Amino acid sequence: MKQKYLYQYFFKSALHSFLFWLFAFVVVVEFIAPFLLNLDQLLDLSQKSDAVMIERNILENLNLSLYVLGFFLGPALGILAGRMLIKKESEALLALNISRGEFFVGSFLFHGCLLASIWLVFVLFYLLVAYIFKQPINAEMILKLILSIFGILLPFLWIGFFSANTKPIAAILLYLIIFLIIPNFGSVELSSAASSQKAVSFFARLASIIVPQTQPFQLAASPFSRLGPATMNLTNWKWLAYGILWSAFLLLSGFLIFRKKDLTDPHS
Amino acid sequence: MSEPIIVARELVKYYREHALSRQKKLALDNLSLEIGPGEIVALLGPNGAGKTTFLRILFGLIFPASGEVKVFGQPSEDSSWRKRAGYVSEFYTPPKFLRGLELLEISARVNGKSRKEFLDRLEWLDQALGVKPMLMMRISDYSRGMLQLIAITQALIHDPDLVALDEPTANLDAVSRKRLKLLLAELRKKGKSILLSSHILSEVEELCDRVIFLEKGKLIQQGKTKDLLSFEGGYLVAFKTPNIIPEELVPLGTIASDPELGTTLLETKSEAEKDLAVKILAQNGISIDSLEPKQKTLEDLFLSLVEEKKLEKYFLELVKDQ
Repeated sequence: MKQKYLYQYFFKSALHSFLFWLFAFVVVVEFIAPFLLNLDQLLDLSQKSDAVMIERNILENLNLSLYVLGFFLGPALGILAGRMLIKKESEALLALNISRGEFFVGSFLFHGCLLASIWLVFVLFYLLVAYIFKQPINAEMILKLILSIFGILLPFLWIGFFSANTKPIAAILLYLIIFLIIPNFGSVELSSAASSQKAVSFFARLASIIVPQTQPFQLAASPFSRLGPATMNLTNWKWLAYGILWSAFLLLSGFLIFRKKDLTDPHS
Repeated sequence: MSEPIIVARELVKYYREHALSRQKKLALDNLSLEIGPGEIVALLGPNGAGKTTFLRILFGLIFPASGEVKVFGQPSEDSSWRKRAGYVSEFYTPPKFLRGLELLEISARVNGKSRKEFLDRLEWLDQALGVKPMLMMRISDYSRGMLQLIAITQALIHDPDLVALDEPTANLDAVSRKRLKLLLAELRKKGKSILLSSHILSEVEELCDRVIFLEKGKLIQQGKTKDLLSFEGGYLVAFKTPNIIPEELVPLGTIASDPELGTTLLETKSEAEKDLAVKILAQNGISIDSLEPKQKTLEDLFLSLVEEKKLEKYFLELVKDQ
């Protein structure tokens, strides 16, 4: 009952946010429009000899869109979810019979569900393509489809976590460092090892271990670029556990900080 | 006295100058206080005394460095007691995208009221405050006065047992101020507890049963309003202005004459001076119009407390320098 009004509030708040409309716009441009345009061709060509090539093109396109979704829209909604917790307007609700926990869960659940609904459209579209091209849908594919949500969920949670504790611009900078700069430390690590620079190599390796990785959930590792039957292997389960643990860690630590956080000093 | 509804024990709160600063400013200094059911209590003090900080801790918006607050027997950070309480913040910033009605409905419903209860209560509050005309407007279009009215309405929409009001009359016009005063008197009759922080001391004097003075986060004095403002030893003696005011009256106090009314007022500082003045007036055949013990106002009390503290500080610094 209480949650219903809380979600109503989050929804209205999202509708009045610039980022929400940016989110909606990018979803339409990046995903729905190109694929709706291609769908007729897909159906016509599914029986022809070059069908496999077209199918791969379509799926790569889908995969790229998922990457864009993760890179831009996850953070956009993450900022909305994080800022919702600490903006001055929220005090009018937090002074009511609403606990910090309910507010935290409500904000992340609402914005997370919004993000997941777009991911779900991707998954359904993938299944439709697989069905049209008569591809077998096995357990490994289903697992990879599930795994692909972490490609958007981790950026969403990370930036949501930062936004609840710092200014949006600082949150965006931290996000770029974590998801753009640190992943490239892998190459630093290799070149440093070759030139015997052990310290650089060590720190590069350390950084690539402690920061979250989203690449395994996107592009080459995504199910969209690897059609065809495959057997389930341990790596996929490992990445599933990795995604779940990082998500749980971010949510739990975010909640523990927010639970005891002073809201904005009104004198400031 | 029955079980207090607010119990604060040794609250300490610091504010950092800025996020990365190590310097801390003490906002509450071992503050302990209690507020009983049905009491109307005023929190008074100069700017920066810790009144707003205390109210924000009470409603779980910020947390003390040490100490604890219990409201209705529950720790202040628990949210469930808040369905029995309403808060008007001095820095009230409601979600601007909502309409007034939407905000009030969310507030009533999350506090467990049915739609019918909400509408009935809204009707009652409209009669008291006249808020209906602004309910369909977006909050972003509200004036400061309208925001204050919606803040008060939001705090009262779920018929709470405890209401905390931080500068409730700020930005209100004379009519709304009068309406609020009547509404608070009505709530008092219903046995609600009210915690009021205000700079308008005449209102506090009129409404509150008890006054708590804070300064620099410390409780410096508290007591029942009538006790604090009670007779302080001096008297006001009013008499018909004679042709010549007897010279013996001059050293007994301050004398002021009103030529239009034809009366003179003598303000003595002690009972002995008053007795002597009465005797002198009788000897000179001057009739006394009225004789009343001098009452303090909250403003007198407030200023004397603040001035006393300033003097104390001044002398301490003087001693230190020597």
